[in-house]
Amino acid sequence: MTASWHDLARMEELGRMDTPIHRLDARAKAVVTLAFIGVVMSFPRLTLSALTPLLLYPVFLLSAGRIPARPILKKILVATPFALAVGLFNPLLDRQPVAAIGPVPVSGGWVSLLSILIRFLLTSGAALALVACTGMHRLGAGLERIGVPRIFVSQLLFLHRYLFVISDEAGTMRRAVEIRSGGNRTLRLRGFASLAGQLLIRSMDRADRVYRAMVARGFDGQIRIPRETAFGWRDAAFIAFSLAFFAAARLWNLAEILGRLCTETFP
Amino acid sequence: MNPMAIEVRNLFFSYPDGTEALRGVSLNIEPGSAVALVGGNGAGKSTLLLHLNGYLPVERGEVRIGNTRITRETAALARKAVGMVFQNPDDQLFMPTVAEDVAFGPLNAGWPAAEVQRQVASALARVGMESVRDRPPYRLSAGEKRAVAIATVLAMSPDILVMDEPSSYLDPRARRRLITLLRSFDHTRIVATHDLEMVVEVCSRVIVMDAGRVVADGPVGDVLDNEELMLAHGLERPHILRHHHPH
Repeated sequence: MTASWHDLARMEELGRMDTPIHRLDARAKAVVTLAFIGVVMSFPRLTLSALTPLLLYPVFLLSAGRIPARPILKKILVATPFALAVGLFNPLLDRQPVAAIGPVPVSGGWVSLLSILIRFLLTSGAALALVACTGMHRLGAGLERIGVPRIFVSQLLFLHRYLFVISDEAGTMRRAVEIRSGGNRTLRLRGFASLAGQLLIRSMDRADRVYRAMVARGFDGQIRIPRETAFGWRDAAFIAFSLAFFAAARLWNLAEILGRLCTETFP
Repeated sequence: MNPMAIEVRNLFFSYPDGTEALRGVSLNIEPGSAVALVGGNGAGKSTLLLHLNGYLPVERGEVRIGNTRITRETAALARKAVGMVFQNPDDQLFMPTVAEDVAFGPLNAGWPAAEVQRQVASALARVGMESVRDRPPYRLSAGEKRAVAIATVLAMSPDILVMDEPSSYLDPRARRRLITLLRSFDHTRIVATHDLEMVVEVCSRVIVMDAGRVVADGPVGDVLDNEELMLAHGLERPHILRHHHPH
């Protein structure tokens, strides 16, 4: 739990760096990321190779934003079971062979499971890259300026803020349990139930105190940030290039074209 | 900044679970004075403080800040006038950097960007924390966090400073700095605390609360030096008052 707190804090720090990607307007990055997710989701069920060129986008964001890959990959890995759960039964339900690797036929179910995993990798990578290159607060303010209702933006920012609160409380409680459990780290079910209840109550109390402190400083539901970035030609160019690339990747199978080019040029 | 008076008249408050936290509290605080609010745990100190900026609604009785009576409509005005520093700075600091945190209040007040920047710089300078302005608050020491929490409130130019246990979590050196800082302010100050030694150094007047009532109110020397009164309300006569060597 303390590790997850550390992770959250690390994402915040990454979001505060100063690179050309970080300097882009939060609205531009949010719009492009949404478009990216839309495009990835619009591919047919059994697409594999045509999806791969899209990996360039999150990789570009992360490398140009000088974000280390490890914390991002770790976060993706943590969420992978959810993506697996979505496609887990596909290989059982769809046994129609659609391709073959050498002599082994591959069923549609396996291909669609793989496709789901690739899409998951792409979309979660892009979303994490967005947060890491923007920071939650700037992102929230950007979303509000695009026209996302204030209540959703506040919800998002509070959720983010309270994640810190909850993992903080959980860390304290885990230490308290470890100290008194004599090195035995597994908890019996009853102990776990009361611990989870405690965590909820403590987090709610803490959340109330945080909110109280915000109200005391004039918080009225709108998140304001000091550095409002202006929308410039760089942002427009970023949007234009990204959308053009997404459109190309959606219309043509760039991986296949590249492969054909290579084989035709160097036979 | 224009130090303001506080007037509380016959204030009652019960929490939803039925706990009677305040049972008829009355007090007057003069503009620019430093007053300590002491009393054991559960005496009603924090509940009283939460009424001073309108966070808890006045159920029965009356609270006045300057000439304004606090109601649901005037609570926002009270929050502008009363700067509140909470017990745990971790509850108060939540923005990604110290500077952004200090700017949170001024931005909510709708001040222009240049004015916000000026306020942030001067508040951080006032508490000696310019050097940490771009650091994330959770990376600071307890003493730095406390100083920054005070700066977040100073940046809103309050007329009254209300603090709940400002010396908690502090090591002796940070506590000493806090005392020097608190003494340097001209605001009307209310400090709820168990740190009676600090009270002797910072405040001129003490209000003792017990079970939701004011049980004593007077000059620091008189009230805190009264051993019988202190013990009767779960407190202690501070050491600093025991060792007077008149020459």
